[in-house]
Amino acid sequence: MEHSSSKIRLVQADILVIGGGVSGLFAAIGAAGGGCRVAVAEKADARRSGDAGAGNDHFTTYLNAGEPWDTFDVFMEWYMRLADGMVNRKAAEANVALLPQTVKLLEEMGVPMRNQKTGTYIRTPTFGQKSSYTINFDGGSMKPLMVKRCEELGIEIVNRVQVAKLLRAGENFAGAVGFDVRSGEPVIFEAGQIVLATGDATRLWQNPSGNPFNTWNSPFNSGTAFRLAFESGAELAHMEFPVLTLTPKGFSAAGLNAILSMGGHLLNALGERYMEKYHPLAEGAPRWMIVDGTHNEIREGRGPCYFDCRHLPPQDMDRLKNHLLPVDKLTYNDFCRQKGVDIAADLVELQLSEMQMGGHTGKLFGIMVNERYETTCAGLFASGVAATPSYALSGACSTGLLAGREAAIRARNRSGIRGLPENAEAIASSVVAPLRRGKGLPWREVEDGIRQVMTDYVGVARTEAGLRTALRSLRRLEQMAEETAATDPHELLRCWETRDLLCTAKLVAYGALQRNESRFGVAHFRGDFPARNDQWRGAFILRSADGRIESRFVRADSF
Amino acid sequence: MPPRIDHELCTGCGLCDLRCPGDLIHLDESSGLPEVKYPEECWHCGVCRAECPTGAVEIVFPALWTMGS
Repeated sequence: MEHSSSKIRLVQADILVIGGGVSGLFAAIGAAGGGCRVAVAEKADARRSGDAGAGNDHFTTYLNAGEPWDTFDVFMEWYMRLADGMVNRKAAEANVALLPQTVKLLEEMGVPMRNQKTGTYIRTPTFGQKSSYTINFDGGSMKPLMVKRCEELGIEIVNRVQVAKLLRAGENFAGAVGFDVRSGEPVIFEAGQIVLATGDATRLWQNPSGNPFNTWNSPFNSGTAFRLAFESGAELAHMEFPVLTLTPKGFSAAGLNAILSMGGHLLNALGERYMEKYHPLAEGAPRWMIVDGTHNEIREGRGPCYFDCRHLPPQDMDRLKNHLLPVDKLTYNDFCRQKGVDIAADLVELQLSEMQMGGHTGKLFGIMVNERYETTCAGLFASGVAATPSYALSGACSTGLLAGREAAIRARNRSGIRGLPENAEAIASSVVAPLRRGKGLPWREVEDGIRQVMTDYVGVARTEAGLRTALRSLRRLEQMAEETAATDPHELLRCWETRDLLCTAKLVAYGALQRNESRFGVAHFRGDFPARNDQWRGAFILRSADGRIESRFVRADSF
Repeated sequence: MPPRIDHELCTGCGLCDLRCPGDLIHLDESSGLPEVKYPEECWHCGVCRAECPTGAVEIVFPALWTMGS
């Protein structure tokens, strides 16, 4: 519902979902099922935004279809092992319980989860699984179908609006303010319950190709939720563990999951299947070990390394080349053609991707949530990559559904408590201030600074001295970010993304400084503490104390 | 310079502008045709090409990205 008693556009709802990716839309669907008015704020167009905007081809779940491994219990055991036990088990159980239901929901929307010819699911093992938990499917139309379902449910999707600040009214959340990315006009949202679902933060480290937008998860995901949660006083965990993957040399495209699940191998320059040295499941190892093994091969002078799919039987090659890779990345085959490589006939050179706070199964970082997917601030929920625990596409769906449902329960219990703070319009107007500033730094200068600092000091080899240098440099960049000017609304969007990245960068560097050990291979290698030390098997939980970062440690067994 | 839009085939429907997840493609006010205003921020996701009803969009990768084997 919108009305125009003031000059500033106002959107009113019971629940505001921030981010219209897969998880945000599932949150909206979960909340609307509870009879609430739901609005989704999306910076682009929800039909094509987020990591799955152009599609996704892998959905990780159990299905209770009869095999002994195909159950909630065995799946939970596998997930907890992958997460090294370092996540809130109750929260994981609450969302994992919803997984088979999300498959049904997707099918009801018209997403072809099954092989159209046989009517069965194509299920394969990947990443540390012996069980075939991964459904291969053609999810190219997933997002448009989800938006259609949202429209049927009366959910208001507000496209092209970037949220910049949350609003409080006393102890309660009152809504948010943002701006239209085309007109630069401020927008106010009034809502008592908020779900943060803005996904990854990707442009934080330098990119092997030199272009920071060449990322394997969407480069337009800037970690807005991490900043909004931190500024609200909510807790975040495991921020010191970024993720990397293997991509074709030059193009940071998703697809490792597809290649390995179809039986592709990883070779070094000597022609050896090097993962056999590092894990009994070879290419079936957890992703962080595959990344670590590859990093080691290159560092020790056995690179470049390659994807080898030449041995795949014709029907598997057809599936990989024509159905999985071009859904994982719509332009995968264009890239191969323009580069002059054929995955069926050639070794395809690979690279270690840029680091990112990106979503995949086994990632640990995120906003801390309880089993209702509520953060440590009442009325503020989080789902998808932004939350921990979560994992990849299926986790985006199940955590979103859960957060939306729980937000709806809270909204019903708090009916009547509403109202914007008096200064809402002043805050909204301040959000577009970089547009009015005549002179100032361009956003790109600050953002390049963040990537330089993160790559130099918070990258694959960390030390206490380097991390302290990083934190000092990031504080300087923070002052510079206050001075950025935007010449148009597009630049205003990037200015706010820069602030998101800056806040996320600080949390990563601070977390890395606390963790005096090394864990998960290149994700967190401390040169001054090169060994794993299980005294630190647990989470450094970060939150704001008057704007400064405060940390506490919780052992894995007392989550 | 990604992506390349053929203005002969383009009907100016604006779907590429609407759907581009990065706010990179803008319809030019005078010509009514799309311009890739921020090509250096493109991640080559291919949404503009998928949405284009007349096949006017071609994805061209920067030469730098296609080095190696």
